[in-house]
Amino acid sequence: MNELTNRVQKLEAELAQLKNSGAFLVGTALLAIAKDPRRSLVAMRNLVRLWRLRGESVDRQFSTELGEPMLQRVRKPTKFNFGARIAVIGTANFIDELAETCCVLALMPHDRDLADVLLPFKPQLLIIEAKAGTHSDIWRHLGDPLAPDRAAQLARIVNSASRSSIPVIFWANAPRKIWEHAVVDLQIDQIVTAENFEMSLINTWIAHD
Amino acid sequence: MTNRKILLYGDVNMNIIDGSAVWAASAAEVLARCDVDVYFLLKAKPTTDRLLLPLAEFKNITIINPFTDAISRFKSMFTKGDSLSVANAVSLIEKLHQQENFDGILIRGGKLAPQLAKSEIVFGKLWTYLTDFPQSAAAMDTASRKWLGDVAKASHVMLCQTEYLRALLEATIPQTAGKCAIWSPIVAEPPVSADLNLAQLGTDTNPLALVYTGKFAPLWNTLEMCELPKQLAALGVTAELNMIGDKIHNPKELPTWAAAMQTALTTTKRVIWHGGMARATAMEQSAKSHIGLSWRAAELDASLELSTKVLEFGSMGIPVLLNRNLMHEQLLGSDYPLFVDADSDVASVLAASVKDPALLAKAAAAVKMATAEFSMSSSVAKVQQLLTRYIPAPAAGVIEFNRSRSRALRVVVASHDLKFFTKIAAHYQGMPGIELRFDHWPAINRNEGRISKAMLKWADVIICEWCGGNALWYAKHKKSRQRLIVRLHRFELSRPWPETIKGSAVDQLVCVSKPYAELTLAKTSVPNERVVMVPNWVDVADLNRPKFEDAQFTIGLIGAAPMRKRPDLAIAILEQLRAVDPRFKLVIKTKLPWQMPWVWRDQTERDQFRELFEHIERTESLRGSIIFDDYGADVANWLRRVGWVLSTSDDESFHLAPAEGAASGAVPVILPWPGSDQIYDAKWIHQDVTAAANFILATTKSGTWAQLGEQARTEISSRYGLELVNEQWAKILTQDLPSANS
Repeated sequence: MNELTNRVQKLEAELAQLKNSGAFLVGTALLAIAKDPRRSLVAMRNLVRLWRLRGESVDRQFSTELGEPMLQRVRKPTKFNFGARIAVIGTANFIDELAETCCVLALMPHDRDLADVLLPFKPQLLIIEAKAGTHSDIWRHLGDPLAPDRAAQLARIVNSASRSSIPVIFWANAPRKIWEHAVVDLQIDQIVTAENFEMSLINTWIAHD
Repeated sequence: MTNRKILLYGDVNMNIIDGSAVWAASAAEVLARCDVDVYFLLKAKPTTDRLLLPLAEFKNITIINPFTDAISRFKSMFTKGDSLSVANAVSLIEKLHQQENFDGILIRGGKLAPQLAKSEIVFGKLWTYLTDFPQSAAAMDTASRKWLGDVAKASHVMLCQTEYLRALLEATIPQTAGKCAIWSPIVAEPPVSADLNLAQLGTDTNPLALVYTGKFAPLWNTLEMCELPKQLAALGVTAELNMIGDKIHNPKELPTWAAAMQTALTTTKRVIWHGGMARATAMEQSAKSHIGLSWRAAELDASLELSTKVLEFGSMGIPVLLNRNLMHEQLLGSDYPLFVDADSDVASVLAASVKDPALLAKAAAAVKMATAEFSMSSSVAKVQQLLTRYIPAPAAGVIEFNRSRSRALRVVVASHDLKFFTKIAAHYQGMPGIELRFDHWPAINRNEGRISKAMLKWADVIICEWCGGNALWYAKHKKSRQRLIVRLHRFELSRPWPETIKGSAVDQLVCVSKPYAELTLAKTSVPNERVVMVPNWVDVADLNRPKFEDAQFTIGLIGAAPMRKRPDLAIAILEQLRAVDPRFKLVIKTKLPWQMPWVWRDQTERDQFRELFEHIERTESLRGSIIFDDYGADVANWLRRVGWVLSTSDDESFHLAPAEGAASGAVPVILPWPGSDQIYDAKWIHQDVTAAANFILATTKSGTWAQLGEQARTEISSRYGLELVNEQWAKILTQDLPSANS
């Protein structure tokens, strides 16, 4: 069973790499136009993006080199890819909770561009948890004005999400003073202030996608 | 040393009392108290002396009024009109500098600074104080990065009002790193202290007196403040509001706001509008109040600036009502009783403090204590330190040269890469009696002949940073009257230049460590007695910043590529640490190998790095514990999170990283490389990965991490402190240092 699982995971990785190939992505965009001309504007925008990416950037190099091992970081509800693909900046508890129903990739500060670096994962949604700055090891000090490098890394990720039309949800589950320096001036699609994160929200945004 | 001369231009109208004008007046006063000859250039024709009168008491402050100085020694500055435009100001500052040769030019303002930064006449002399730039990483757009970078390049020092502003600038504008210094708000000695009469407070006998001073603007909640007496009356508290100031904003997006504000000031019951006042009078009036108001719109909570008004109230012992945010909590403590939360009712907070006067007494004590460090006397001590550092006293040899030749010593620095020379160059740039120019080589072996020839003709002293084509060219062409100093790093030892240089033309060949001086001697024709050792500098004052609370569980590595830096060993140490305590993590500040084409072209390097990254991703115990931070010059701030700094390289000539880490209070952990024991004390060097990991674990267990960090800082400071190294570099301009082998 283990061997089978390994083989399937390997195939998934290869598929992810195939999905990142220029030919595949151009084909997908053209197919989208053919299937639904109303979506041609979006598809054309994707084609333009692909054209811009034709020169191999250093970030793409990162993707090529690390794409497959990076999938090791993905938390899944089953052994196989299933469920919404969520990129998360959050606490371990929140990631555990999300991973019960979704494929979750905990972002690192050096995951600079959702479109390029994380092509193998292709997140549908980015969720940022306010407590990440105080209760996670990876993003510790996010929101502390004495650690603006973390805020800059967050801004880089959020901007890349906006460029790729990936919705961004911010869960403000901590006092404002903890997070305002991290998210000020960022383009956030929805700020959630509820004490508990409502999972159905994910479906709302992914349905949009 | 004769008095330092500084030109001050705040690009601000001194007739209107606002934060910028008060800043300019305070800056002039603090500099004058530091025995600086201050030349204060006015922007606007004075119509009131409210802010300028106190400056007249200082004989070493010269006010330059370009609108009336038609017959003074500044007659060339005479100009018509009422106010200087930016272009006018730039032109006047250039003229003044050419006439007076200032040691520094202190300026403020985001409109002026980028224009002045274009001037070659004042390049390197600017002390630039800025607050009007985007105050978040997200808002720092390309245009802002560009102008701030240009300003930083032209500035001798970038002055930041708070640590937060410094951190942001360093993280987002690489040119500012290492050039930023803190210039805190300055609060004049209060003419009077508050006498809080709390008996029967809030009654007709003793109404609660509130005071606001400053500009009237929507985000400052000044219109809403006028409602407070009425709201407090509804809560059974008799109150009056004193409003001091005469600048009413007229925002385009709120066309009726200014009129509403004016009406509120003039017609609201129990609101007393005092108009504009001299600073001292405003403070005297404020001292009669029970509570100062600095309650602002929540949009301003993310500001990285401290309000001078808060500090002024505090200096008089007046409790201040202000927003609860991170900065204010750090200033006053989270239990300060007069914080306004986003959702709190301001009148209720005030009413609660009236009912329990002990709260007001507690608040008064807290603000008084917190603001003591911003007093004029504390500021004089801090500014004196800045002056000593950025306008250092000239070296004896420089003074002698100036005296005998009646001119400045002309120094040229020729190099393709100044990253190891920045602070030595800054030391020369600030030192009176030295004129410094740069011969920028496009590559280590390529120059622009026309420029180098002009520099050669001009210079008294030539410093070649790196022993490359620059050193060979100057050794070949320099005149016998000129002094040639060459600094060599590890890299050139494996290249032909040290062997082929005309050794007899080199007056001093500087190596950074003794082992490398020995290796150099074996390769070069430079005479033995001229090969000297001056270590790399470590800027302890800049690096010494308080650590984050989790620093003792964070290991840092600066530079992980090429593979000879041995990031694999750093990761091996982390694995051993995490096996015992999973709180440990590794932060690596580095260029990634594919960002270094010469590394990525090498298939062996490529394979090794691929294997390393796969190992990180595939090893469960390492997952999420290694962060690759961007390579950049913001090391000092980055080190706040680092408790242990690693040196795992196969070989190094000095390896600055552990020294910089130690200066920050981190503990150096070094795996031995040839010569490491001659640079660092043996107690920081461990034979292998296991010994290094055990040392870290044992130290954290014994609770001696902070103590060891302090020990390392002291040691590095006494060996490689910037002041010591700069002293050597100032001396070497005119005198030979002892041979490295003596």
